[in-house]
Amino acid sequence: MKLLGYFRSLAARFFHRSRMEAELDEELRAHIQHRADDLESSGLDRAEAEQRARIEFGGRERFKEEVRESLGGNFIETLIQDLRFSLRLLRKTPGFTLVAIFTLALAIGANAVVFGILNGMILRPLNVPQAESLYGIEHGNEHNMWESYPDYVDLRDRNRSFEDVAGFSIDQVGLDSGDNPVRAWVEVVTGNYFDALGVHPHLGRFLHASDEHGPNSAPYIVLSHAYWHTHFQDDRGVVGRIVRLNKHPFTIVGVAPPDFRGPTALGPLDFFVSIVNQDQIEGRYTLDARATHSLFMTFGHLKPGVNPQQAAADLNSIGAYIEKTYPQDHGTTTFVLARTGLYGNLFGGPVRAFVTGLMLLAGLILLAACANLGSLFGARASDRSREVALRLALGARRTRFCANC
Amino acid sequence: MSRQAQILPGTLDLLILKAVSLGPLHGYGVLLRIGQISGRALLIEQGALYPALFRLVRQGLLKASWGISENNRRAKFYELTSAGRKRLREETAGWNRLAAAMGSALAAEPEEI
Repeated sequence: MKLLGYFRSLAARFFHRSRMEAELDEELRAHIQHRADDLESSGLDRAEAEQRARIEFGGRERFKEEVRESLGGNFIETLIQDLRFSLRLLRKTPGFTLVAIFTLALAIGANAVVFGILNGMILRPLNVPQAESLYGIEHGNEHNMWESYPDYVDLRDRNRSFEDVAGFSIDQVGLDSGDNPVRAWVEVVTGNYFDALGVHPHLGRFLHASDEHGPNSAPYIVLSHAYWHTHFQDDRGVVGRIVRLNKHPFTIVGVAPPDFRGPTALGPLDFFVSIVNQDQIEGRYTLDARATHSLFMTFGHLKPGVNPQQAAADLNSIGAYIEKTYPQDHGTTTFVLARTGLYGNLFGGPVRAFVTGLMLLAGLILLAACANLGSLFGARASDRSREVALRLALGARRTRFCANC
Repeated sequence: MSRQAQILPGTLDLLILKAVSLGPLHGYGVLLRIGQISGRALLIEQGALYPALFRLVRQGLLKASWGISENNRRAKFYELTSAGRKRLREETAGWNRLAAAMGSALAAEPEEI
């Protein structure tokens, strides 16, 4: 309502102003006529008197402009005038305009692309609740996040810093949902994966820790939203369907929410299966092998009030325990917490540095483009010296003039 | 021409108020009246009058209406409003104080100190 009122008053002012302009014109004309009358009575002929009167009066446009300004509130009109003038100027020199637009387009395009990458990989928070408290567990000495399943279980059950610790690995499987088997990327996840992330299914249900009852006990599939869309045509009846995964029957139990990419920003995977069925999926069973790194990454939300240093100290005490208890399988076992989005510091550091460098470079390109345009304008300004002289003589004021340049 | 002085910034409004206070005038008439009452000693750019007139109307010190001039031409006439009369009184008093102060300051002799 307020906005409407504003526009109405603006419109009223426009109409009022056009009437006022006409009156102002007439008033100034009357002034010159009166002056000419006086000059005529002093002996000049009419034409000469009118000419003299006009000259004496000075720059009519300039005074009209001052009158408009003394009335105030004509910012928008001034802006529109300036814009129209700029457009006319640009139309007059199409070559210059094209070069300027092309230069800017190139530079801005480069920036947009690089910013897109930066935004996708670094700036955009992960699509999970409370992404700021989500940390991955990284080895202090190796800067990777691989973990053996038994070690993961120790970390999950003995720590006091995380709400829950979950993990996953990545593999390729053959999926047969009818008659044409396709290869697909899967995340092989621990049962508490979705609950630890705190996400809710788009359709059906997720896997839970309660599904796990020993090897091959959880033949369930959760589809990613994208895969559901492209391979199952958004069919809501997909829940409960039985498909074959590496020839083993699995039941589709749910669909993940749109844009859910797990704890990393690395890429959309096709679907999720439980790690207790590792034998059917990967053709091996390593969940009891302490020396085999079965999990690509482990992660969890920190409890409220726990900072990453405290959590790392907590984990390190567990590390010391593991080290001491299973000396044949472990060297030094220390942990640090790292952001999960780019797989911790291993990729994260270089990727962040690279993309930031790229962004800086793109910024420099934009700067260079602006500098080039600046010198182009400089060159054109010397061509416009005649126009400038004319406009100043007609009474253009310098502030307005600079706005047009 | 050399005996004409540029008016001080800010005094044009006061001169216009004074000129109009002596009777309703159109723009050119204001100019003539100022010339007349100042003994042609003040130089006013003709066009510069109008921004000042519009400003005074906007401030409610003058009101304008269209009429026919003594030359039988259509012209916009200005007259003082009551706010304008009040402002004229105040500014006149202020100006007199300033002029007196400047006069006595500039007339000071060494022995008076």
